[in-house]
Amino acid sequence: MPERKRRAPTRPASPLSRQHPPVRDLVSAMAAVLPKRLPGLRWFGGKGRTIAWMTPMDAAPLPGSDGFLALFDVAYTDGGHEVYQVPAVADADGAPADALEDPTFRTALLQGIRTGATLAGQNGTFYLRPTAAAAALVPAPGTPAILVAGEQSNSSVVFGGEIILKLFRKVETGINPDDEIPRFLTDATSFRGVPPLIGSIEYETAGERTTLAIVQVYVQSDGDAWTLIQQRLHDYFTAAGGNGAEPDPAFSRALAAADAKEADRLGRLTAQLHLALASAPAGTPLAPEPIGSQDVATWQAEMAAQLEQALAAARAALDRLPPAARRPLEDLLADDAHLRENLTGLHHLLAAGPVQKIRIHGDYHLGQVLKSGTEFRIIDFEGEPVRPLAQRRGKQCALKDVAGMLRSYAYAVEAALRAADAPGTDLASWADAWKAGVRSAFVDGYLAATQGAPFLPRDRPSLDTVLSVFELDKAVYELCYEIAHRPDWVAIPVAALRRPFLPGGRTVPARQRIATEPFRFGACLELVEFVGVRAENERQLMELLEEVPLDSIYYHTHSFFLRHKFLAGTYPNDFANWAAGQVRDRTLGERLAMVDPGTFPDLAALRDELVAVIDDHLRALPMVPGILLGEPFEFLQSWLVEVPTGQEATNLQELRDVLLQIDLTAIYYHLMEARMRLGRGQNDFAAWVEQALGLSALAADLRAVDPYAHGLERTRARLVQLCDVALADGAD
Amino acid sequence: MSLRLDDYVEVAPRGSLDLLHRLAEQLGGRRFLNVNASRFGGGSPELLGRLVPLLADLGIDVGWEVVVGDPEFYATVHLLEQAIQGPANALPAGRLQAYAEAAAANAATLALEADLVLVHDLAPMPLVRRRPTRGAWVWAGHRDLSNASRHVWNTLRQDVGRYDAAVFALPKFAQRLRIPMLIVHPSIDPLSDKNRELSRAEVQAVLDRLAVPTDKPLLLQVSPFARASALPDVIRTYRAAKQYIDCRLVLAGGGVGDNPEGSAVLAAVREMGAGDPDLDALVLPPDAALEINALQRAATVVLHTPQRAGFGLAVAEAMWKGKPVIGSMAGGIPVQVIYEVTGYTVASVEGAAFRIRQLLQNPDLRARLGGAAREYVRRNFLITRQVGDCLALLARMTRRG
Repeated sequence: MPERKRRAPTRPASPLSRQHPPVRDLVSAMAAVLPKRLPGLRWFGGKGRTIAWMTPMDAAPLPGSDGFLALFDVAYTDGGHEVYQVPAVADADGAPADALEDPTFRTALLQGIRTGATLAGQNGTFYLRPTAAAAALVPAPGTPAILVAGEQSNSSVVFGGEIILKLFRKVETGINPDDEIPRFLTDATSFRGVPPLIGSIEYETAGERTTLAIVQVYVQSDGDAWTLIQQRLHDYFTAAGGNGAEPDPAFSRALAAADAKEADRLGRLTAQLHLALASAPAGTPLAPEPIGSQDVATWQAEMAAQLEQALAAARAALDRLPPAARRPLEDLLADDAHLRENLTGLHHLLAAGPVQKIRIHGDYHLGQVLKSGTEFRIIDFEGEPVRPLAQRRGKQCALKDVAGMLRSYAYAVEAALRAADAPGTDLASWADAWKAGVRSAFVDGYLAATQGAPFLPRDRPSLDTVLSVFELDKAVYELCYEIAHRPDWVAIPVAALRRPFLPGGRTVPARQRIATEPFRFGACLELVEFVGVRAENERQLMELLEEVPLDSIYYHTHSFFLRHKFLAGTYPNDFANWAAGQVRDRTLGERLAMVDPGTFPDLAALRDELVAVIDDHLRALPMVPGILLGEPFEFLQSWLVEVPTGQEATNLQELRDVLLQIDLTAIYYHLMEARMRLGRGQNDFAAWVEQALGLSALAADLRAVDPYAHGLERTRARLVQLCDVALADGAD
Repeated sequence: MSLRLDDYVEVAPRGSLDLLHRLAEQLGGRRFLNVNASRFGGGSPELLGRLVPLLADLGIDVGWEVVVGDPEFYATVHLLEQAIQGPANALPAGRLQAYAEAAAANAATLALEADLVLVHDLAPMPLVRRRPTRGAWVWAGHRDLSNASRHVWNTLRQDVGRYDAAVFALPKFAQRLRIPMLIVHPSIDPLSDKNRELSRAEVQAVLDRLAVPTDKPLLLQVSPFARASALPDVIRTYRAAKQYIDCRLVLAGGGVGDNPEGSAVLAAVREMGAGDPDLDALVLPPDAALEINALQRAATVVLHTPQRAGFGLAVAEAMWKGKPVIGSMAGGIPVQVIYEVTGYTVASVEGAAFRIRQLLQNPDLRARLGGAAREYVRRNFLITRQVGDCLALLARMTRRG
């Protein structure tokens, strides 16, 4: 067991009696060995600091065991102090050990809570308390009590797979939000998205209470949402062609759609959590309060301070970062004024009517959400453990939780992308598609369920601005963390920080925006293949349409553009042209011409529609029109060779300039091949303009470009024209 | 003077040459070997004479090997070539066997190791019997096989089936095969004497030499003096149009020499044209590239209305010179002439005459169709496109993983 290894060599056996060790002696012995043991323990928050000394603060024996609840004051050489909770017991050799490792102690703890034990210490009192919900749930004595791998700031014991006791290691005077929030939600609201609270351990001295542990129903889950999403994303990227697999775009899209649906549900649950927290009646500690200018000033100051700290750390770390992370970070640092400006938009919280601050989760991410079946349970209301308790118990803007979850989704997909082994495939755009889908689903779900809540800005632009500022702030926090712990991951928060966004409703003019990643132009060459079948009348055409590979359907409705590139005027697919031109059946030609490939989700659906149109047409005719003098219809398909052109655009002007002169096949490739055969769901230009430049309106215009009606050369002109309009916008 | 791809930068579609360079970079290190039966003459030798240097200029490891045989071998190949284009007398089985063995015997002396071996035409086709284990083999048929004599095709198809793929100029030229049938249209070289830009003075000099006056609008058909060219119909078309607008017809082509069919056709044309000073039948030698170029440039409207045709690149040549073309539906003509966009396809003498009347009386229409025709050829029928096809073929047949 790892816990055994952690047991540091102790000083020579203390003269303590094994049976009834006096409190003082055992606890003193513990205080003597802890300075050596603590730095090796996961939950110790003072890593990197030097312990000057340790003193026992208080302790009390726990009935039914040989151990003690005990608190220690840790003094650092830098002058700081922290309090740690380390229950103590004597091990077989009489040396002090962590009592949580003793099964008898663990069971006794739960029993103490069940009976509401009050334990007198020397300076204060330890209260073990059940809640109203406890009686029915506390398991019988003798239930196995298992110590589970701990969190960053606590250790947990699971009783019979039904109850979890979370013992806080680093404690601060005051009620822990992990006690306070679930208790409120369980007792005073109908919100059931948290595991019910069963009991707690509190320490009271000089009239002040401190939460030492909480007991909750243990959620039997499939796992936390982060882990589950990682598994889902593994399948997603595999279906997209990662991990050496044959691409199955339809399956990929189905998975992304399912994840978006789930994000929508989590968004709604998050909304219910906030609504429940905001329901605390006036006059109670949790009651919402209006956000004032002082709040905004304080929050902005905290953000600014964190940003300066991050920038300093980034500059200091630049040389030791891997090259892939260094380059974007350099760009970020070169534009730090822009970043500072981007972080100042919280005054929007004051702009249009009062907005409330409420108690929030405070450290909201996918790892804090357990999933069982389709149910979510939100856990860990402690807040960010590194922050002081007073700050963690402060009221906040609810959008901070939303921002936290959005960043978590972004991290999840980046992490999965890194794990997907896919040289030569374009998984990044799949990642973007997933992120965009999940993001908007979460936000939409949240907003749909909070409609008009007083803790959100009334107007959407303000809301978006504030949300973006919190996201940026979260990314600044991530940047600090990654520089210190995972330099390879620095690029993830950097990409978020480079998102071209200005708060305050002002947007950076299109012509000034720098893309978060370059647009890489790819072109293509087409090699045509004869499928080997010919149709001589319309019935044969219909029957063969049902038989030929989908690639042939694609060829005759899309690759058309590669051959008739500059031509417009003829019908936009080969079937229509054949019917009108060779069979001389203009009615069918015109009907087939109106089948717009752009409106079908996939080629199978397009095939069905073509067949249906011919079938319907033939039903109304007494005979089957065929070629008398014309040429038969020869089914072809093609094989596209993708060729990276080496041309890149890092801003809209460059995109426009390259568009103007690039080979038409590149336009074809990014416009149709990307959408229909590579399964990206939209054209690459629109996707890039939206995701890398943040120009949603232009992206919508680009998506609406209809190559089927114009041919490629005019489509090129239209794309350039749209870019020109956007570039001129705001150019004075 | 060896050809360089960058020589085409002024004529090829913008951006397309960069694409070829990029793709060639990706394909670096793969060997691409061509095999045919001759280094000289029309057809595949002319094509390879241009493609091979251009591919080499792109950095492709490209080779060109030639199979050889005795006179009996070439004579058999000639008979086979006739037989695959239409009804023909059966060839003795022994003779076919000798042909195949002679072709395959070349394997001993040729370096056939390559990532892709592209075998052109019938003569070297049986080489595939000795293909090395490594590398993809593709047969380029070039000709229209759809009317091949059954017995001849039956003996050839077995060898064709040993290839990994076959290339045809048009789907309708293909026979039923179990291997992938790739479609690659032929192309014209815009820098060759037949297609390069000519000054007014150069054009005039050629017309003077050929004694073709420029006093009236000029109709031109460039095609061999052969029955398949349907030249009497062309003359009837011209006469029907001439009732409305005065014009001149030039029929230019080769195929006369010691060919009895050609001589007979020429004689018939001359007889029909007797007494018509506006009708010229010009017999041109096989290397009359400059003359054809000048005639096409001097023409007002170009006709190409044979009964049967191969791909019919004469159409693309005229279109490249900005001329509206009136074509029949034979062979590859409808692929090049897009109705009412780059010209007109017609089904009868009357239809052709009507379009001539329209075009001769409407300079704006001529300019519109001619301009579209040139752009259409630029995108679809220049040799740079065929270089791209070769690279795509190399990429496809040697794809890894």
